[in-house]
Amino acid sequence: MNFPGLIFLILAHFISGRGILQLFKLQLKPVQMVCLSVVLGVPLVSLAPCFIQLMHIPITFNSVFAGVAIVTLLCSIPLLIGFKRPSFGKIEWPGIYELPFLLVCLGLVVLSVWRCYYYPPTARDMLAGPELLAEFAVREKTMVSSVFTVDLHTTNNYFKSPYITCLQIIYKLLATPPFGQTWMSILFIPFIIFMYSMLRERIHPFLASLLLFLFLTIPDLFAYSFVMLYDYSNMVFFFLGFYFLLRHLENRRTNDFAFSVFMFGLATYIRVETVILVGLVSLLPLFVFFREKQDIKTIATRWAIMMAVPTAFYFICIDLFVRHFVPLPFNASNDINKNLGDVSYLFDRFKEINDKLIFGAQGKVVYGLFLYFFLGLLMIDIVIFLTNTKKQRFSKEAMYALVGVTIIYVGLPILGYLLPLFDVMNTTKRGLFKLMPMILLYMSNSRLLQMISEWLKKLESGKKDAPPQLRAPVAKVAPKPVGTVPANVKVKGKGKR
Amino acid sequence: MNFTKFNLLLTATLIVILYFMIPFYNEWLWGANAKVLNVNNSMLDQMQNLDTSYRKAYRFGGSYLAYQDMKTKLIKAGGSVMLLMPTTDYMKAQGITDMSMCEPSEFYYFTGINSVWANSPEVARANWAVVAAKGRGISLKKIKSKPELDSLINLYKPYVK
Repeated sequence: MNFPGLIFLILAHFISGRGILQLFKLQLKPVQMVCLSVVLGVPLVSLAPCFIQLMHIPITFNSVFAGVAIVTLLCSIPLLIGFKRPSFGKIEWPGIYELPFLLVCLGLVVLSVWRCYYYPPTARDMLAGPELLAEFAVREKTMVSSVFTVDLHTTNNYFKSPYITCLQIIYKLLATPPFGQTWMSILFIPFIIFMYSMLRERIHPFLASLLLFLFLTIPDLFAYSFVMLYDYSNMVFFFLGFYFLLRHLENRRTNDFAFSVFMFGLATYIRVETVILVGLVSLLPLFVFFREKQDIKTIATRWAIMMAVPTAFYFICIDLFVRHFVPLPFNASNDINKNLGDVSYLFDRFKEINDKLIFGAQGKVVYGLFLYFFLGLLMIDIVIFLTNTKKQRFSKEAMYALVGVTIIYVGLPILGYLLPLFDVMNTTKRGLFKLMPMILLYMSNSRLLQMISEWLKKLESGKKDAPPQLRAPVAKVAPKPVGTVPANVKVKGKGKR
Repeated sequence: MNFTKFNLLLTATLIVILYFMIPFYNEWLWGANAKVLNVNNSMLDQMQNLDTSYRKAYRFGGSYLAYQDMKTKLIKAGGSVMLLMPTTDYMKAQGITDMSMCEPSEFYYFTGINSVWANSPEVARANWAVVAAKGRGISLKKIKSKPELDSLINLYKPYVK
C-alpha cells in the first residue's frame, strides 16, 4: 500500500469536493460539509483518467498523479477565490448511551474497510467490464487496450460508465495496488457519518444511533460497501439529490435545488438509467409547485433544469466517454424492450419483485428485517394518525420521504419493463438499495420515534419524567397586526408559512 | 454519568443483544455461514496472509488455480493461443462439479489469454481447447485440424446458453 498516495487522494477528494460545494454555498454543519466534500470529490477526481485518455496521453503513475492534481486545482478555484478561515463549530460527541450501537457500527466499518483492501474485485460484472478495462489500462497505459481484441459477445459491461474504471486506474496506480477498490471506503465512511449527523438533527441521539445501527446491519447493503459495483455509489448520490431536493422544498433556497440537480447528474453519470428515476422524482416538485400555484414559467424552467442536467450527464457519459473509450459499435436502443405495447410485462415484473425479492425468502437474506421494521413503524404511525383525535399530521419531510420510497418502488419495475437486461435478482435487487436511506429519512421523521425522542430529551434534561404523549402540532396562528397597521388590513407575507 | 444516561446505556446494550439473538441476524453475524464474523474469514488470519496470489486464490477459488495452471502450460507451449472453452454446464454434464468455466472476458482478466466459446463469431480461430471427459478430469488439447475443431464445437454448443 502506498500511504502517501492514499493521503494525497483523500486530500484531493476533499479539496475538489469542498471547492465545488463552495459554488453552491450550502448551509451545512461543519461535519456534514467535510463528509459531503469527500463524497463529492470521489466522482470529480474520477474524471482525471478520462481527460488523460481523451488527450491521448499515456496512463502512467506520473500522468494520473498530474491529472488528479489538475482536476483538484481546477475544482478548488471557487474555494481559493472565496477563501475564509474555516470556523469549527462545537463538535457534538456521541452520548455514552450511543456506544453499544456505535461500537457495532464501528466494527462493521473496520471490517468493510479491511475487506475492501484485502479482497480482489469479484463481481462478474466488474471482471468482465470496468475492472478488466482498468487492469489492462494500467498494464498497457491506455484505456483502449487489448481487451477489445477479446471475444466480448457474452457481456456488455464494457459499455458502462467509466466511473469505476477510472477510480480503479487511479487507486491501482497511486494508492492501493494491485486491487484498487479502497475508494469505496472513502465514499462509504463519510456517507455514513453524514447520515448519522442528519439523523441527529431530527431525533434524539439514542434513536439516531439506533437507526444508523439498523441501516448498517442491512446484510447486502453492508456487503456492497466492499463488493465493488455501481449500486452503492449510485444510491449515495441519488439519495443526496433527493435529500437536497427536500431541503429546497422546505426552505426554497435555489442553491439547494441546484446542488440536488447536480447530485442527480452525478448519480446518472454513475448509472445512466438513473435519468428515468430522476424523471419520476421530478414529479414531486412539480406537484408541490402546482399546489402552491407558482408561476407556470418558473415551474417549467425548474422542471427543465432538473431534467436537463442529468440528461447532459447521460450524454457526457455515453457520447463522450463510452464512444471514445470503447472502440466497438454501441446502440443504446438495442437494450430497450422491443415490445413496449405489452404492458402485462410491467405488472409481471412488479409482482415478481414483490414475491421474490421484497417479501420473498430472498428479501430477508438481502435486506434483513429492515423493510419489515419500516412497514411496522409506518403502520403504527398510521394508527397514531387515525386514532388521535387531534389528527396529528405526518411531517412534510416524512411525506416527501414516503413519496421517494414510492417512486423507487414503482420506478424499478418500470425500468425492468423498459430495459429487459435490468433483471430482478441482480440489478433490481441492488437498485432497491436506493430505498434504504429514504426509509431511514422517513424513520427519523416518524411520529412514534419523534414522540419517543421528545420524551428522551425531557428525561435527559432532568425535567419531570413525562410519558410519551400525543401532542398536536403547534397551531399556526397568524400574528396580530401591530403598530400602525389597522387590524383589518392584510399584511403581505405575514402570518403565512 | 447520571442515572438516565446509565439506563439508556443499559437499554442500548440490551437492544443490541436482543437484535443479534434474532436467528437471522445471529446467523449473519457469527453463525456457521456467517457473513461478518466467520472463522474461515477471519481478519486476523488474513493479516498473516497478505500475498496477492493467496488473496486471489482465496477469493476466486479452485477454478482460478486451474486457470493459472492452464496459463502456465499454454505459455510453455508457445505461439499465439486462442482457447476454445466449454461452459460450466458442459463440465457438470461430464461429472466435473468443482470447476466453473468463466466467460472469455473474465478468462482474459485472469490469464491474459484469448479464448472463445463455441457460439463465438471467432470460434474458427481456436487452436487450443479445454477438454473434459468423465472420470478423466480436464486437460488442454492442441487443435490440429478443422474437423477436430468442428467436432468440439458440436460437442460444446448445446451447452452454451
